[in-house]
Amino acid sequence: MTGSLKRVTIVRRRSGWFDLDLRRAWGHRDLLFLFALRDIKVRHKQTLLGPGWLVLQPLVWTAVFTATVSGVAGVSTANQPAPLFYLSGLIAWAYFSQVIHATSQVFIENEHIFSKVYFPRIIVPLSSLISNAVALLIQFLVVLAFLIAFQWLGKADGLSWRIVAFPMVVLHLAAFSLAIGLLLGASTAKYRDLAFMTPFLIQVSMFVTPVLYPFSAIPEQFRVLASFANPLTAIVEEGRWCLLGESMLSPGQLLASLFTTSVALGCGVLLYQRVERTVMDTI
Amino acid sequence: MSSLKEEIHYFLDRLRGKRPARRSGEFYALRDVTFSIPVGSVCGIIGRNGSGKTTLLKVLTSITEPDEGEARLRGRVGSLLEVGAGFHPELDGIENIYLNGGILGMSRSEITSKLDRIIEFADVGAVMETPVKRYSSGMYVRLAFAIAAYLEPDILLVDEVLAVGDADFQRKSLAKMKDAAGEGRTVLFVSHNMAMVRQLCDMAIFLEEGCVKQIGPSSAVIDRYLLASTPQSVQVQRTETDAVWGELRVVEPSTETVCPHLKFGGDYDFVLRLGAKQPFKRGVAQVRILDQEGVLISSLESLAEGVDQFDISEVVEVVFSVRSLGLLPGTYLAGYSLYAWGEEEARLSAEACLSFEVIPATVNDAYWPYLREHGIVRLAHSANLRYPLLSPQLSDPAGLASRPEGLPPVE
Repeated sequence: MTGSLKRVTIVRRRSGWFDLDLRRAWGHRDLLFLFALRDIKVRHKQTLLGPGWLVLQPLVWTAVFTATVSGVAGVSTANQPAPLFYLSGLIAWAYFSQVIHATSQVFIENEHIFSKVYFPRIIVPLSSLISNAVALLIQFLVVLAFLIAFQWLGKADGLSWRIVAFPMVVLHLAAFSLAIGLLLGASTAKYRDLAFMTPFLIQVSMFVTPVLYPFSAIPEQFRVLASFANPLTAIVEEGRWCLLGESMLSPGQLLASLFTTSVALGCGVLLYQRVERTVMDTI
Repeated sequence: MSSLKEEIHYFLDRLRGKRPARRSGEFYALRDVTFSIPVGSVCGIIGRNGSGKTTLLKVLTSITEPDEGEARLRGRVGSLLEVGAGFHPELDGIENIYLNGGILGMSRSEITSKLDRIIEFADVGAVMETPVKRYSSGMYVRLAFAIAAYLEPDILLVDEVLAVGDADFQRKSLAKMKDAAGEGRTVLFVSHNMAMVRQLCDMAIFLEEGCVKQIGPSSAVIDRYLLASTPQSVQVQRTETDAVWGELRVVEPSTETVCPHLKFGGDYDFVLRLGAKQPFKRGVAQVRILDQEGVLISSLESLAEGVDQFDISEVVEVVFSVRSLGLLPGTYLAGYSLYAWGEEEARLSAEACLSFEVIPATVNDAYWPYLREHGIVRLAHSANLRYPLLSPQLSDPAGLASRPEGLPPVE
């Protein structure tokens, strides 16, 4: 009897915080790529430069920083050529800001589709991780081009096998960005004014993360604390280590950052799933 | 929405293990709803607005979680709570087919195999390649429904989606749902349209204030629903002057029971009961049927129907027998006037003393009911098909059809 072979869906209240129904989420994994593809396509429809903006923006910022922060203000760039220094930090920070910008209002922005069709809501933030990763990849290639150019010019010598570890850095970055995004998304679903925090948070993060200044500028005794409080600190430094070679990052700081990232991610996922269940009744 | 303070209190109560009292502003949208629907049935879910029908569908589709209880759905579940869920305005028709189809649960390969049929069903033409934001609302709805129509789930949950779109679209969608039922799929259909529910569904569930009032064969449940929507006692208004009084009722001919709901195409008597306190000579009665805005639709005239001027000594009833009611579904008003023959001014008049509703129904075992948008009145008619034979010259100038094979065409 074919009837007995059919999948049975059980609808019931999910009890407690840990009842995550991950099997259902896995069943909908196709949607991840569908949404990521949609976001990428839509971003470039009817635009003049299309993906060109992904390259242009960080280059412009790098030029600005090189001229002002390094040139005028004279802030150290840790013995690296200024453009390389800023670019490598920027691409990580840009990914973080794009992801949390996309995810912080996820329930409010997608209300019309969430209220009409079912799919695990976590798919939307996850898909923004993927669509922004494509942008990150393009920017990474730009950095690579710069690295090769500077290497050939003899101004830098950081390019090495370490670059292979970059995907790990991306994973760490993605995990943390997702964590903050989920926490924000879950909070703004219930209390809309928290959405005002997001642009503020993005701007503050650029300053509290060593994008414009080197990690070494943080006094030694505070480095672990800094990595613990703002995991991006270590993430950016990890990125710099992969791409440029030099780094002051110690295993302790790395661990502190990973710890905070995992805790944040865990809380983010749990809170998000909890809010997801009944958000459509209150949004 | 509870405030932060309430939230904290609630949370602390839960931690302490206390079962907290219901928070302010809460009520049960569904209560003790229990039913099972056998494979292959089409079940209608009916009830007033706010009775919990849409909430029930939202729970069954996992859009919102139940507070208590469990539902089991065997097979693939497809839902149409709104057509075009997930459509992105910047993407074109084909891209949206893949997007919407994916959201509804179809795999990419499945969509590709059905793509041609979907495009054909949608019938939007060349605009397939342009962004959906340029489509007219009709095209949009047709495309969206086409995708959903080919979803082919084991269980289909439909929420009054058919209320949107023109009559043509509604016809197509109803046909598709009937097909689904024929293929052995289970359909749950939330609707306000009793005629559609009667046509399509073999069973129905009547919800009222979140509780199941009745569940069973659709006709019985629909009748129970209509009965519940009717005020129990119908007050008949009496209009009177010093000399005469009058009462107007609409009754069912055989039973003489008063009906506030008339079935389209049914037989009813408009009974005007007149009484005279002093003898009244040579009366002429007129009953007027008006629409909700007071526009006169039809007058029922005693004199025009062959009833001579009548005398009223005590009480008389003028019975206007309407057969095969041609008034299309809607709400109507009725009034009347009593004249004495030869006089301009009515002796007794009531503008709109009675209100009644005509509910949709089919005629002559037809598949499709008459609905509000067909106009105001149905002219008595019947429809037939015939295939005329045209003369050979006109339809077939080259003579290709009638010439046997092998012979050259006629000049």
